[in-house]
Amino acid sequence: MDPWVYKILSGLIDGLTIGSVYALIALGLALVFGVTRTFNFAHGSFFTWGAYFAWTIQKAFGKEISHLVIFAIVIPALYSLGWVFEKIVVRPLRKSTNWLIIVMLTTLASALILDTTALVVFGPLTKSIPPLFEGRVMIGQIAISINDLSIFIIAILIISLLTLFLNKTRQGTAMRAVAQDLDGANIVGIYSDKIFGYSLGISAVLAGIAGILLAPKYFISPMGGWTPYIKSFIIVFLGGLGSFKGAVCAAFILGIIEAMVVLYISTVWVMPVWFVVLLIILIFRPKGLFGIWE
Amino acid sequence: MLKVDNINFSYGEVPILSNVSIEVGDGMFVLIIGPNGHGKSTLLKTICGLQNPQSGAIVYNNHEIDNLPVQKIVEMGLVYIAEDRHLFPDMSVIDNLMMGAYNKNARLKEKENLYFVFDLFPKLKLLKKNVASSLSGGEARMLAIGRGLMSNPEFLAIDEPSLGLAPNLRVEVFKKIDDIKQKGASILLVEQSTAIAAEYADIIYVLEDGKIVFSGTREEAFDNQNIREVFLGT
Repeated sequence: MDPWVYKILSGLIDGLTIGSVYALIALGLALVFGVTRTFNFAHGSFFTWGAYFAWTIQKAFGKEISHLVIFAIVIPALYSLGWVFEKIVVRPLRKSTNWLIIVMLTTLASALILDTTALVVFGPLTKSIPPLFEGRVMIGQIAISINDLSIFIIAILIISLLTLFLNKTRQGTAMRAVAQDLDGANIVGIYSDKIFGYSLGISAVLAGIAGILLAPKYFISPMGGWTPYIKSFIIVFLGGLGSFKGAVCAAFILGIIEAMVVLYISTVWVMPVWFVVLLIILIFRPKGLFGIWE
Repeated sequence: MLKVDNINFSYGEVPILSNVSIEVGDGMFVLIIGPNGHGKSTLLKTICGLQNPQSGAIVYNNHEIDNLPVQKIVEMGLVYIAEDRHLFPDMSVIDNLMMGAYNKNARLKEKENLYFVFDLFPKLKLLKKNVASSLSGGEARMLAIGRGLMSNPEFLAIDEPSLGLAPNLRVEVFKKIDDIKQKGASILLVEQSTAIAAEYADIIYVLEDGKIVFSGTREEAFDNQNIREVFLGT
């Protein structure tokens, strides 16, 4: 195989892997926006805390502990965190005027509190956890790390489960109903308050798992959630605000672009290139790729 | 069945409803008419739990419902069908209908209510898989009523069902609503296009400036020259 073909294929594989994780974070943001029509600025903190939860469990139970156990503990913990967050931070503010903006500000404040708590509890030095698997596997002449492959599979699995939940279960359909018409959802008897809680809970799980999947490669730090958070904004806007399909597609597109930029230019050019891509797409499709907007 | 006792509702400083009292007996068709913007929709929304009155009581089947959320009231069988319809635009007709059966009492009766809805509105059965945003005004109106029926109502509070519909469709909508009443439901209807609706009503209230200025049977309303001229268009 020509070395340049090899390089492109490696880039594609890296791009798909990182893209799948970005899809998780972006879906969490898109889900909360779709249901509540506002942005949770603490989303990045859930990403960070998911990774810190995993690190803590490893410290407590030893590095040999299976990732399955970690997920089994962390997922309910993250869901509860998100759900409680909705109940004590978001819900009380819903009766206020300008609540959309107030919620953004309050969640921003909460993010800073969560990040500072992480700083105090875990210290400023970056931490890491071992990858899911070691080793590589050969597909033809290309070497793929098993860890990257598992990340991709886990992310795809979660996205598929989420899609199934939203389309085939009653509560998932109720969530879509709340997203499409809040008054309509109320008048058919859906307790939209509860649905708001579910959406925050699920988004926390998505962000936290993404944090755990990326932790071995990108390290864990108290403010580490902000870059993924900003990236998920770009992804959601590129995909089209309000579109889940769009968020997933945009995540993969931008993931591949990131991998290529890192490979052929340098890491520092990733964000500028992302912004340029977003701007160009928005010129031709102002609502994003699959834009809905409301 | 439903007793609204002296309720007051204000939007901030602006009074919308003043000492409004109405009554809907079991199986009755009660019509509320009056000029636009004088509180008819607000009255329905307050009864159905979308807003709470500042004072007064609302009693439904011997339960006080004036402070309950709309979801609890739907579970009790009092279903609201909004003027703005509030359908789920990206869901199919059938999905919209199934969402109508969300409340726990309606879930048990899902199949038979769906059968009744398709029997009442055969067009909806044809459009089953179509997305709600693609429906015409009349079809969307039918879907809104159908979805309301899926909530298993004993009492339907309907806000301007014929708004924006062609005259022949208006007649059809009221005929269907009367069919629903014949099955035993109580109906509280707010309407602008009053001539047709009045034909089916048992009791008529006139709401003007947020106050009830007339209440009486259909015959009494038609006998009243003022009411007849101003509202009933005859």
